[in-house]
Amino acid sequence: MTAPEICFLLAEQETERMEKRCFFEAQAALLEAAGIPARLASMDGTLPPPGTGGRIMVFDLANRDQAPSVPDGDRVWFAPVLWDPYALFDPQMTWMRREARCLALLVSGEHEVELVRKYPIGQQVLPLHFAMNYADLERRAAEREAAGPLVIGCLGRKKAALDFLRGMLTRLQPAAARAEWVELDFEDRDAWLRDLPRCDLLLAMRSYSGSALPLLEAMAAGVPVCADHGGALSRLASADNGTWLESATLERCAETVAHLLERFAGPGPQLSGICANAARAAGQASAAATFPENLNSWRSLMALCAPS
Amino acid sequence: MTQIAYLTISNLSRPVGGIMVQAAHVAALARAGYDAKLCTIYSGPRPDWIDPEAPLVDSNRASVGPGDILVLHDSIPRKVFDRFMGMKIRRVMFCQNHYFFDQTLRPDERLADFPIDAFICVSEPIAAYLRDVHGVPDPVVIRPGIMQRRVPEKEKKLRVCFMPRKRLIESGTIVHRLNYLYPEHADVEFVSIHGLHPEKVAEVMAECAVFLSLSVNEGLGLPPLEAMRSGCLVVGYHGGGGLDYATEENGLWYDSATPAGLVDLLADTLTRLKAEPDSFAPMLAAGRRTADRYRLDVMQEELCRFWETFL
Repeated sequence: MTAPEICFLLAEQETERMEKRCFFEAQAALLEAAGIPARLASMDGTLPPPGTGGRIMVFDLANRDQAPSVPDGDRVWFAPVLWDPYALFDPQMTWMRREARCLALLVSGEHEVELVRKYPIGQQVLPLHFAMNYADLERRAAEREAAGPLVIGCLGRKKAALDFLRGMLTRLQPAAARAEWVELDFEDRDAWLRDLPRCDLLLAMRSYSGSALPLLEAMAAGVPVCADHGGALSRLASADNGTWLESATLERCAETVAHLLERFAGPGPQLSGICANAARAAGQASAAATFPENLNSWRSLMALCAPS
Repeated sequence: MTQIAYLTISNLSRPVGGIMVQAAHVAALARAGYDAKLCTIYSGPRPDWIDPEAPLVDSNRASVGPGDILVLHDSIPRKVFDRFMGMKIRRVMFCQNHYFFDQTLRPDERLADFPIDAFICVSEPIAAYLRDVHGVPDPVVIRPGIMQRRVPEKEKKLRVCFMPRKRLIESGTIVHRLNYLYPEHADVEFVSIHGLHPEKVAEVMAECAVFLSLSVNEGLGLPPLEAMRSGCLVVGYHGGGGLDYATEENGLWYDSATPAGLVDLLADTLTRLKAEPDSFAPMLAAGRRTADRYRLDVMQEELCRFWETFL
């Protein structure tokens, strides 16, 4: 029997679109390599009719209102992704229960999967690693050149929080005052790939998300990460692989960053061990490394649309 | 007589805690015989949530001169800030939220380097920030008084009141996770106080056993104090500036970057309250003692002391 095609859908104006694109592209390529038809498409575009195996449409649950209308009788199903694990509320759950084409909800993180299984969504919950293929960036030397100023890359939608941290650090820490601060934007892929390798440090304040792909790509590239990961790395983040902003209080976050900057100013090895651990952790979370587990979920999903 | 002109924002269409505090200052000064006024370009009818004793004037028609004093706030757009810095007039900065300053200042600028004659603020965390980060030698802390009208004590119901506006995702997460992960608490009602008139807020707080604090990046945060005075058990974020009052004795404070643990903390609290309604009596008493430090008469006294000295 022909396998259904897995079609990843992106809307034009959705949040973290590039992150989703990186994730979807990687999954599509790996599925194809595994012999499962897959493609990436625009939610706003026109898709050819599905093949005999049918089609499973994968998109962010937050974009459920933009899901394409499908003629009755077409073998088309929906498998939404819970991109933000903190944003599963009644409207989304009601839609899941009522939408006959829904097969399952795809959720990142074992812990979150267990939680969501307790919600009345009326559908299966399948685990899925939100992972990507990292750009082949030239890995930074772990030892920064002592002469130049620090280059601190800032990333995140919490702009006011980042501005506060930057202001506080600049006024208090000579290293921060001398630093070059670079605004990074993962959504502008070219600029991200251009600017990230220049950074001695990535300082990020993330919104809640099941994805931490920008942080993982930085870690893979050997850039030390100091970040509020938005919940996506609850299991992976440790003091051995990054500096994690665990407090909701910005002054406490600033203290954490300040301690980190002092380590840059000091003599001797600078974070080389942490960078190596971070690169290793990012590697283990890459699309290729996590695909065997994801493939189990994709196969489970396809089994759900097989005729009984 | 020297005019004391408190500048405020243009949109007074809904209650804003910071403006209520500015108005309380102005009203207190007016009562003490000062020529104080709240200046705004808002053109609608006078809001009933602003202290009626606070003179409210149109900024475009107000006339201030070299002998007068402008009281600036912390959210002034840069262009306007620069204009005020260039005026031949005395300036006082009244800071109610230090997290806003970096929307006006460049990272390499310090408030101490501007021609500002005095700094007043609403909490010790702000004062510490002004001293340590901006080099302001002697910021004066004038804690606001709780303005919420006292309502008669009522029998508490196992309800959770909360103000979701600043942490919408967190509030939704908490309500839903509590409902579905702790079904034994699905009967607990959550009551939003968003957009309610301050008098209605007082009534809601009087009935609720728990206040879920969703403070974020606050200079002080009055709602948790109002809740403490109303006999609510406060559970949640202190928002930074709330460290002026938040202690282990007076609330169940939560300070993590994600809300996951707050759901568990709230569930545990509700379990204990169901098992033994008086289990937090010492904490509630400590909360009332804390709230009692934020009184309008104390504020008026400290405010007048500052202005007497400054003038």
